[in-house]
Amino acid sequence: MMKFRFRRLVAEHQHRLYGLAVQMLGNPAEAEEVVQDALIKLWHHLEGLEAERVRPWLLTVTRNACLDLLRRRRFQAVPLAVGADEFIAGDVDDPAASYETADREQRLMDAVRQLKEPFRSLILLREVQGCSYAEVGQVLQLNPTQVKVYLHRARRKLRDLICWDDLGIEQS
Amino acid sequence: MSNNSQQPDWFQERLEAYVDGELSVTEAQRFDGRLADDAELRQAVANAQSLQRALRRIQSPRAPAAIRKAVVEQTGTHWITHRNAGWLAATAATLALAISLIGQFNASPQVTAEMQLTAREIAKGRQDLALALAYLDQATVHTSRKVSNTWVNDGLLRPVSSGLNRPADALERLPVTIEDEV
Repeated sequence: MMKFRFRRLVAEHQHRLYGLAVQMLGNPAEAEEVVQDALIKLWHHLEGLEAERVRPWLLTVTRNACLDLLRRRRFQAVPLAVGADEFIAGDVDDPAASYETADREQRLMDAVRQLKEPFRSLILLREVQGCSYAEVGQVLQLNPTQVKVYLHRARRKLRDLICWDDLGIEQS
Repeated sequence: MSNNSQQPDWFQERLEAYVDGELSVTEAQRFDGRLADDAELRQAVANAQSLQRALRRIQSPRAPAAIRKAVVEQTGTHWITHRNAGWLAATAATLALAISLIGQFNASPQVTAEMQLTAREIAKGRQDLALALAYLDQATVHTSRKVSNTWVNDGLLRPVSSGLNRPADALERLPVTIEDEV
């Protein structure tokens, strides 16, 4: 029964965790290792973990592992090691447009990675991974008010970092 | 925002929550009221929405299959191990048998209706047969009595000693006639 539950959880969460790790680290090989470790830790802690706590727990473990790695390599706006094609949104009929979209997304992600913690994690968890305010608060150990305030600051800092025209974002 | 001199940060602080739809109804109404008059605030909201849309369009890469494989190997959570292979095979065989049996009994509605009709006909036939046998049995008994009575009445079993003078005595000793029973 435990095996069944574990395998179901792996299938359910692996892509989200990998996405977060790649976006934080910019390196698929490292992200793969981080996610593997997080899922193995889940197996060892699964018995005492309530169902609703699993996702925030996994996101926290994955994020902490990414931060450790970033500290170790003295992170300085590491260039994205993942190819643009990994992010292609999928207009296969128009490869040029797809590549342009992917390139745009890559530059946006580079800007996100330049943010300091916890702003970077806030943007990734809330905007890219689609977590709720409550879930973001659980992962980052912030109360709801702090989540709102920090998220506001994170977005403001990100807006300062990006070049709107370069990103193709239409400004009204 | 240019008109926010009294509370310069109120709208800025709530701009993200407004874009996220996280403001209370009262706060949202207040924000909407300001938006109608403040072009700068409208621009800020539009920028925030554009950035949010751009971030949400970013597609996360999918985890490679190697992750799952490595995790399953390192945690020993394969579905099939040497220890449970036999048990799984037996379970699979039992399930296959159960499914085939269910398939046989769980026929189409038309076949099921025909089967029910046949069963009813068989039951009716058995009932008719039992009734016929009961009549036959009764008829056999009556016939044998009739024959017996006829013969008695004809005097075949009548003791010679009783003589023709006392026929009533002989009749009293006889079983009831078939006409009486009917």
